[in-house]
Amino acid sequence: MYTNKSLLVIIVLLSLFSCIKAPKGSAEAIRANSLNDSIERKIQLINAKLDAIGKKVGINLDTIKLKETTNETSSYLDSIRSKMHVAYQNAQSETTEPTPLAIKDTTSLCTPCDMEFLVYLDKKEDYSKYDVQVLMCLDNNGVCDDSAEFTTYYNEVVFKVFKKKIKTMSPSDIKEYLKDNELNLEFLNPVIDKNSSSFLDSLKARIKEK
Amino acid sequence: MKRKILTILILLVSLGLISYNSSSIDDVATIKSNLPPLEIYIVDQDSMPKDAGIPNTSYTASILIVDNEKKQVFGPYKGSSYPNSQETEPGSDKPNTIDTGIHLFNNLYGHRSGTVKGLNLINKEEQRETDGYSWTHKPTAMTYVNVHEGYSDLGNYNSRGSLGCVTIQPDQVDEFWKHFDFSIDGTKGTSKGVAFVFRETEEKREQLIKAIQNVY
Repeated sequence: MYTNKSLLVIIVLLSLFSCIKAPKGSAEAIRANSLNDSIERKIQLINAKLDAIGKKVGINLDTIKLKETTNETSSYLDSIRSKMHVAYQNAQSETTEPTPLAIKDTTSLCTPCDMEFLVYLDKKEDYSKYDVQVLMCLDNNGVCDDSAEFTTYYNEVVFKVFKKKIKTMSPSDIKEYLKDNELNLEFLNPVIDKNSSSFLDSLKARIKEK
Repeated sequence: MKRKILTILILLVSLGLISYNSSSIDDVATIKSNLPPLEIYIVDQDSMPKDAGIPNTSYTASILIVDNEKKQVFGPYKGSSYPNSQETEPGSDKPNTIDTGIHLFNNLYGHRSGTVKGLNLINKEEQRETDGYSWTHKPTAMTYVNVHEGYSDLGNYNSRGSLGCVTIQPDQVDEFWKHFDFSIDGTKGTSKGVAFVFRETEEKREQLIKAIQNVY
């Protein structure tokens, strides 16, 4: 009733089915890893057998190899997800009070990394000389350099303030400002997207005009 | 004889499948109660974007969200795990870049001091610290790293508008934010979960995206 060839094809199909059924989500990292290891060993054994069978009966094994790659990636993702879940669980049990946004020094308006002052300036339409001095002082000691949020926001506000401030500056003030801040404008501002150089050019042109 | 062999084979394979499947069902049942509500996968290229001034090239990552409560996968959304691609000031060794791997997050603080929407990367003590590396690839403890809207998609060195944060392509950011709670002032909320940053070759990225899409 069954020929040798049809028997082999059935074995191949059954083996393939067992390969494809990879676990979706696994428990703790250790258990998942050992599970994945044993699956990988099974897959290797089955693939070795499939290679031999394929050579005999002339089956194209490209599809099988594609599924093997997909299966490997799924197992890899499963192990990563397990680690993520463990990290999340550990964090849940170790939660403490979150740190305040910035360390406030009430004796001075210049508090390093003070994002509240940036918000205050960001909302203002006009700036006093003192505002600008405080702004310059917020980031002059390097302690904020690793704060991605502060450095990005700081540069956004610096550019915004000076763009507005510059309109009211005299050419000599602009000249003085450029002497101190040209590098800053050119390299520091992360948000102006190519307009920094055109802004600088327009400032330089204004000085020449006068 | 052949029929006997076939019957035995079928029985053996079926037994294997049953035992294998029941163990994976046990696994899933064990972890279900421990799942983070949200998982974010940032699947980025393995090198910083070239940023050669070509529009629509600023965001090289595919970002997927696995919602374990809705049991759905969303995305991919375009984004980036890389900051601006020019040293902030010559010799400053900035900007920093976040490490690949696991990063916990919440959105208790938003971005720009809570004035705009953002997610906040945190450590296991819920402090706003994240592992990263400097411009010259020195390990660095980064602070206040967020996920926020990028500035533009013009392909310039500063188009992402980031000095270390993960950015989302401006056109897709509204869709991206829909998966998070912003019930506090419209910019902050109570969402939390785990993010994972991959930096891989194109082939590996494609495989990973497919695998993530198949989580649910």
